[in-house]
Amino acid sequence: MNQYQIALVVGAVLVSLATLHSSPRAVLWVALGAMSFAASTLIWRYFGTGDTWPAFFAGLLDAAVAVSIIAFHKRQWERYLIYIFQGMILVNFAYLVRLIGPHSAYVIALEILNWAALALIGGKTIIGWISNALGARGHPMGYLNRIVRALEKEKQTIGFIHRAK
Amino acid sequence: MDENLAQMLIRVSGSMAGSMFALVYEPPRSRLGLYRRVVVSIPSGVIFADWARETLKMAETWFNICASATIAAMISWFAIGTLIRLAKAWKPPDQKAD
Repeated sequence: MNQYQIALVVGAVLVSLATLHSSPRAVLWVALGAMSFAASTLIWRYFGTGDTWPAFFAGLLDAAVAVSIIAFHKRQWERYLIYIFQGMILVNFAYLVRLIGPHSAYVIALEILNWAALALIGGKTIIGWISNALGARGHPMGYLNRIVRALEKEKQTIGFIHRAK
Repeated sequence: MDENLAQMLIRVSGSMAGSMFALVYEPPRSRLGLYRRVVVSIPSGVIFADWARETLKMAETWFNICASATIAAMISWFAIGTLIRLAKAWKPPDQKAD
């Protein structure tokens, strides 16, 4: 493992620990994302970076995570997480058809999106802590509470996984 | 393994991958929509894989067959979604007053 991968693992563990109490589903998404990251890293290690087609399987793994989130999401912030995973799949496609390159540009693009996902989950939790500590209403920092409420707004799960009532 | 069977398996797995990619970008609103799109996109991916590969001028390798089945399945997924929406938007003239 290189230092960037170690940093990402440490970030994922810290975000998981921070969100474990407030939203356990976030830990599940972080774990699924980490598994997808580890599996795609293994695929790239095994087949080497000489060709672009392992990006197809990396995209497939990201798509599997995105489908799970689409099927079981309940809050607004999870919708934003879906958009980030859609971005990761696009990056994989772009690398597959050689729209972006060299390999380091592809890795940096994916790294940015991985950190964006962690920042979304971790940021939501931290803003929630600050908002709770300040006591939201009437406080000059009351907009933090509005951000948390907007992110935690309930969203109807897209219905293909559930039977229509 | 028989080469035809292997090629069919590759096309089917490419089509399934295409359906999954399309599901991420355009999830259906109901289970019926999901069934409709899967029933259309997977056979379309298998059938139109060669057409997609020839249109994109890709060489006949195993990976290119898989990728072209994926592309064909994705296109048909979006096409069936558009058709369903158009069909729902269209009303016969006698029902337009409703």
